[in-house]
Amino acid sequence: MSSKSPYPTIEPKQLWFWLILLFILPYCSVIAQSKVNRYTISGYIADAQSGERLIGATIYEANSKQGTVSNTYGFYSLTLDEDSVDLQYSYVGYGSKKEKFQLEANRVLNIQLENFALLDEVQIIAERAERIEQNSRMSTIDVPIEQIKHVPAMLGEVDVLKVLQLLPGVSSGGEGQAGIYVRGGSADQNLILLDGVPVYNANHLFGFFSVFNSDAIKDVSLVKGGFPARYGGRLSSVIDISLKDGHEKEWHGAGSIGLVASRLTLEGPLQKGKSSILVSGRRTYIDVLAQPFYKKQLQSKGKEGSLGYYFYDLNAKINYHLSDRDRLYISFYGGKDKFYQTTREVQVEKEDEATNGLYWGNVTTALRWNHEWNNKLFFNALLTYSHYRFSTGLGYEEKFKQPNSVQRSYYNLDYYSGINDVTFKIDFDYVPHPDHYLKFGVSSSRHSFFPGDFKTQFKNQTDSLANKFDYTQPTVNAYELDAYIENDWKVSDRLRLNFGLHNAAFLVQGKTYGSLQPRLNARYLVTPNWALKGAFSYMQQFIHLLTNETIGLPTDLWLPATARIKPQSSWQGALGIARTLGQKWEFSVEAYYKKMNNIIAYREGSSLFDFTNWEDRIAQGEGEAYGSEFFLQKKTGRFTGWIGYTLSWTWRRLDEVNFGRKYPFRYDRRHDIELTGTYKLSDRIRLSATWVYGTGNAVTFGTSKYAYIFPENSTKERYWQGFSTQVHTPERNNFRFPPYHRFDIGIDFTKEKKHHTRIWSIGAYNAYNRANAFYLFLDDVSIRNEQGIFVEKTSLKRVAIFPIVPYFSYNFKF
Amino acid sequence: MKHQHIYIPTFALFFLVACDRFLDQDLEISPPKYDKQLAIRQFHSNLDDTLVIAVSRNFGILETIDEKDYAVTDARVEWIEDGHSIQVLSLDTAFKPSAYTMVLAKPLQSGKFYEIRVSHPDFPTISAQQKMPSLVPLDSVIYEKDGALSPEGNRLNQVRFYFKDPPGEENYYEVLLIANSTCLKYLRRDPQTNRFVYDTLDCELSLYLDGATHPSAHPGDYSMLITDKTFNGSNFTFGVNFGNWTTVKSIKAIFRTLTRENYLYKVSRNRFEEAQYNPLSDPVILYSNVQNGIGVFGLETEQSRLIK
Repeated sequence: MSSKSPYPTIEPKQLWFWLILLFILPYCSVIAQSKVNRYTISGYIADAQSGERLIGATIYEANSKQGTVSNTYGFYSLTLDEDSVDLQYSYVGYGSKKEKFQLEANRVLNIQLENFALLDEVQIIAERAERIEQNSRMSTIDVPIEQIKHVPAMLGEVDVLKVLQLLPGVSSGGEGQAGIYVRGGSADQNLILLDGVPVYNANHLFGFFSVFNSDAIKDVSLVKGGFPARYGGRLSSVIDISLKDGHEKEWHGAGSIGLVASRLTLEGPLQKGKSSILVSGRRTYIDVLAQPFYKKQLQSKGKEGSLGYYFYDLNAKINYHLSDRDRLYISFYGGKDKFYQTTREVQVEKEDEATNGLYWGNVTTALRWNHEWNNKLFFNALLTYSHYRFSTGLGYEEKFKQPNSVQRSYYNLDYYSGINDVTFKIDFDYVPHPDHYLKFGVSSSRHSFFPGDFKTQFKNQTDSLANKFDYTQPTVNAYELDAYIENDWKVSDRLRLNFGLHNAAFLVQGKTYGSLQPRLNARYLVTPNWALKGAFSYMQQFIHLLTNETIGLPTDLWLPATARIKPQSSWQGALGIARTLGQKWEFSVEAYYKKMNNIIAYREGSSLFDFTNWEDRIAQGEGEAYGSEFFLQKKTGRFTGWIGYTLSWTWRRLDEVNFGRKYPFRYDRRHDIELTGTYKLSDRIRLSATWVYGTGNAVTFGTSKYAYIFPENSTKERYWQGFSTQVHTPERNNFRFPPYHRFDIGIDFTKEKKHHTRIWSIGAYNAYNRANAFYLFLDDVSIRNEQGIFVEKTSLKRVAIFPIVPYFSYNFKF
Repeated sequence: MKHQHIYIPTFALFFLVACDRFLDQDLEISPPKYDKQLAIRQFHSNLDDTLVIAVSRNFGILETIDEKDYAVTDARVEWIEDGHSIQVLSLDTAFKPSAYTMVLAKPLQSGKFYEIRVSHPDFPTISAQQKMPSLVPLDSVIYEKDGALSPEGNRLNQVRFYFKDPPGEENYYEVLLIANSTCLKYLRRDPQTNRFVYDTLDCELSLYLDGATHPSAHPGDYSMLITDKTFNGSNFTFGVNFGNWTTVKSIKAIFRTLTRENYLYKVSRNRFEEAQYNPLSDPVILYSNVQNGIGVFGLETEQSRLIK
């Protein structure tokens, strides 16, 4: 392993010099141009019906060819020379709006855009949204939530994360794997933000569903590289999910009743024009449905008990207008998965009771205050809390009935791990000039990690006292401080830069880790329709997820960098081209290279339930990923969808894994293809389909078998004589699962009723019943040969967990 | 019926669900490809007077093999010392099931390079080379009854090895305890008393080691292994713990200096064995230093002390 420092080699003094230069230079041009009278147009862009503020709406002034986009809170600011202005406001899925006037003073223009569904589609086609080649960002994909809702889903449960896994550069671990893997990164390297609060475990039911309820979501954005400086703390991606603010004008609702789960969302004004609320809940009822069958089965054996699994989510958000310039938001998410089993048997002389349980869940809350200082400066303060906990327990108790007493023997095991975060954050958006958009801010977090508390207790019938064994890993508290500044600078009509610096410090166990993280995105318009884009970002991550490579249980452990375990870091470079084909198709090709340092994994042979200090179970090393991504996307029209293809290589090299030799990452996918489309056949019928193909996961598997021979009379072996058969596995991840592919299909039947709209969704997941491997095993069976003698036959088998899974659900909105 | 073209395939999909065979999710796939290779597993020390080398071969994981087919009895096995071929070993039928043997003219010497090379017309030639490690003098060995505590709070006995690690080089150590004990030979009915009685005999047992005094020690096969990474060039005390054995008469405390390859194999071997019983464990690769083949060739220098 290389002993090189994983941190940037640039000297801090040099970096500050370049940074100051970079931020000062742009203002020379601002000052030079300041002799002309300039006025600022600012305001908010919102949905005309609900008042919901629109994120990333485009504002374009045709005469000066200047433009901007609305921020996360719908705010925009555009400073222009005194002149006549011809403004156009547009947003994907919405009708555009034009405003023409003579600009002679600062103006506040709050704009309301009409939703696509209420407009003539021809009009939409004629309008323009921000083209992909105009944007300085690269490796960033926005998928409209309406598009996400129509992608066929497992058991009809619309799932944001599952849809993101259909994008190039993003892969799922496969069925039964909970993680999301972006450009060769590990599952812990994704910053999943729900209204700005990190969510540590974004999965329900071992990864088959995500925790995000699509009815409550306003916007989803995925950043795979070229990270703007405002993001920090993870190496591979940012999944930024914004909840709806709640309908400000009237009460509305939406929901669904499905095979395994139902959900309901209600939103409306608490005080018209002043405050609104959104409440959304979802719960599965597999447990309720399965309970009678399980009880009946137990009763047939003379037992009683229960068995079940469920999860639930609850989202709530209150949005309150303190003034025209101030808004307050309070948002909450709570979700939990629970698996439970109890069995009880009562006999004349004794009673037995066995219990098992597995629980995990997140709670996040956020208190946010938006304030518009002036028409150029927007302020956001955020106080957040995030909590994740995993626990498991099992117990067994026997009661022996004696003539005058009851003797007990029992065994109990309890384990829990978790993490708590409290963060305070301040962000500013400052738009001094149409060519510059500055973002800067600071944040401070306190992390508390609970790496594992293991308790057992057992008592035999004859013991007078219980035997106890506790193995508690000490709680680790850590403090993280972050500051950033970024500037989106339109250098010329052709060249646009987004550059900045993220500075982070992490204090843990008396040690301080710090890093200066430069970020750069550049766009150069080769022709008006073609853009060449490049990006560089250095990232550092102070927390790790220790996860096993075997099965996807939520037993993964969130751990901090410590005095002994170094923080992860990475640098990533990307180059690409982007253009809009015709009016509606966006096309991009990107090539990337990513180097990761100090990533962690379990040391070979280790697992969650080793009774050793968790730091002793860890191997640290490096990772490398490179590849190309092709993406063709259509966001509007009767047909929407995309084609994605990724060609990639991903490697790992850790000191104590595979003897320090480089090996393919488990989720190394040479080829990954995704085709997703929805077609609106009529106002009442919409068809959707998805096909995915991916190279099989890498797996460690024996290739041959051999025998060690221990000769008699040899003094070398004390206990063995004869043959000891071994399976030979040459390398970590030396074999591949068969390729993964799957076709999903769905149909939505929509009908307007008197008081509501109802949608029947019917479809099938894995429609052609591909047996995608969940795991492989060697199956030994005895068969009779031609001579009638029984002989052992071994075969290699894959086990798939999902055959074709049909679904239907009843959805409604009012 | 409107939209028949949609309903029919939809219902067809539901119909397919009823086909049990169609939903079989447990399917055969092709096994991994493999190269035909020879395998050895040899550990030799300064105490050896004879080399006993067993050679086997590999087969595909799905092949049904009789154990005796693993043995390779027509290979050419060569012992090489500092690059010079010393002897071609002969197949010795006295060692069952199969072994090639050679009497060493003198014990293996520290600092010398030894190599095993095995060739066979049907397999690639395999070879593995080792440099005999130096003998690190053992200053003393001390036994302390109830000298340690287990994580559960139980009393354990401790044997401590005192030595000075040579500076400026990587060293690898293994310690183990062999108990001279009384073992059960037969359980038989005494014809006179008509009761069951035990016949015993003197035997040697490897004591299971229940922890070590240094956190970076790795368990081996009834042994503890450690590198000198954290104490290079220093005086060092390495203690190992074990539980009470009532029948132990004396203990032979064995102290070995290993080659790096020997150490890596033994650490991986132990992890491999432990991982086999834990479905949550990450996979373990057995270390190999055999070129073009499978297995390990490791050298060690050994010394011991008797504790009564």
